[in-house]
Amino acid sequence: MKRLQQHLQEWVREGFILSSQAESIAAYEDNRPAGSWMRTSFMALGATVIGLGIISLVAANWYLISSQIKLGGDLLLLLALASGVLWTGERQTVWLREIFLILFLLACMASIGLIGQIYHASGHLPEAMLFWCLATLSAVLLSKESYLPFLWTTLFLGSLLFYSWERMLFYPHHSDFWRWLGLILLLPSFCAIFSHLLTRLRGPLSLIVALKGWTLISAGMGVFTIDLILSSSEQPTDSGWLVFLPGFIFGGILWLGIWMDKGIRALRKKLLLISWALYMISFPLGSMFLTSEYAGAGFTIAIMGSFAGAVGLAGQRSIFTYLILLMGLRFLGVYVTAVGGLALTGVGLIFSGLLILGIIYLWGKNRQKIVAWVEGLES
Amino acid sequence: MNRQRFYTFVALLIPILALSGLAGWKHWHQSHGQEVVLSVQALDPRDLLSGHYLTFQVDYGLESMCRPISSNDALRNDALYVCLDPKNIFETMPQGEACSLFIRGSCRRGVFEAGIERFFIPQEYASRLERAISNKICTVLVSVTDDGTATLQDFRIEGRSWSDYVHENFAP
Repeated sequence: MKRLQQHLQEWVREGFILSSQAESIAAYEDNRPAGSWMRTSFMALGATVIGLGIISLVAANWYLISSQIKLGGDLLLLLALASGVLWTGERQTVWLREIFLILFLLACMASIGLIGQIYHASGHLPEAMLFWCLATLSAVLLSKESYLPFLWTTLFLGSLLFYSWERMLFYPHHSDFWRWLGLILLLPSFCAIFSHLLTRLRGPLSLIVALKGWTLISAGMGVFTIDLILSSSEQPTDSGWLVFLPGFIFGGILWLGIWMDKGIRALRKKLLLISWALYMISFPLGSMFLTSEYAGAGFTIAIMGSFAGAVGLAGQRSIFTYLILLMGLRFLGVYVTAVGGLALTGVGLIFSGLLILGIIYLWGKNRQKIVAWVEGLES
Repeated sequence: MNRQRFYTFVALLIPILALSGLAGWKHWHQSHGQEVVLSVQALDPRDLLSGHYLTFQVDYGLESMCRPISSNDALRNDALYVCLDPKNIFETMPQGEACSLFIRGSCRRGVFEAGIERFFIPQEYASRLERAISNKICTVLVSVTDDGTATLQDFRIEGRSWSDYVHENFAP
């Protein structure tokens, strides 16, 4: 609100709006309810805590109550919560409907726990979670907020990953080190291709956004992993390049998909292709051929830099800002490692800071020219 | 009922039906099998969803059930059939008179698992039961259906059901 007041005063001073209009806008904003994102977040948090409470109550194992009564009570709870979703849906109370939906889905999770407890099922947690994901997908799609689809996608990908890990479905004859590398290379392209397919099929937007989110998160985990391997002095003794095959197949399809996409402008496309190609080659190079700790930082900064350029051109400011911040931190890490002494580090940091400020000054002074140049490159 | 409301109704009904089906399937296996008593050795970890449980290795009276033929075989998850009468191991489902009662499972990291290695107990008794059974003879009552699916019915300490044992030995 304070920021809006500042803007309004500035706009009045510059003569864009009249002071009476500024007062009307300020009064309108004053009377609006608190930000919906804040309410949604607290609502999701509250409902999740209640849901976890239900799971914990079930886990307490009320063995003196007969199995039939426990299962009957559980069914009644599910029906009551489902009725709540239907009832609030009719009355257009979106936030209350969302609370009932979160509670319903967490009660489904508690039901799986209860069934497992009553019948002493020895299934592992990823199997129970996968069952929950498959059984509740239809209900998750009813959500009009981003929280539930993101939670569902996270649990689905996580349980799929752990299920294949526990069951040794993914390269069982390789060590955990190589299997993790293979999975982390595969995951971003798997999420990106899946989200693209859902977009083409006009699938639910909330799931598409969640999958895009996990594309970024898993790629970040991959970059961090390779950087960590190269920064550590220990290199793997065995060879496991075959684990990269699924990642390269999916990654290759994604790379071709970006290359053939006519909806992406030229410069952005080049940056995305460079970023993705660097990500893919960093896995075999980082785990088998390179040993320099600076190579890890080099890959991290190059991958993040090219990707930051691509998201910057797409106008995604927040992701751009976070990437720049991470690059800065990694750059700082390299600098401290390379220089060593405090005095030299201080001089170097002051010089680097001045360099960044100089670039910002030049950017501010010549922004129009640079933008025109970039647009010229893109056309 | 309008279309939107109908879709919402169906979307909410699917998980309820899936869970009811799971409970029904488990109940059928528990109540329609042949009852067998097997001896076990127990430990106590905890499940995030269902609470405390005793976990154990079932003694089928067979040696080297998951003995790997090569080093890679130790990681296989293929189905395995343990015949209880007469004691034997089959890689395919035993037919006819070859075996009158068998349990289906698989070797996971060199250990045979048939889905009967976990018995859920109340949190308040978990640690006391674990201590109590460390030097007692423990068995499990298992229901085994014709397709080899085994479901736990009871955990017994020196022949008594765990709940009777708890009432007799632990003060409330």
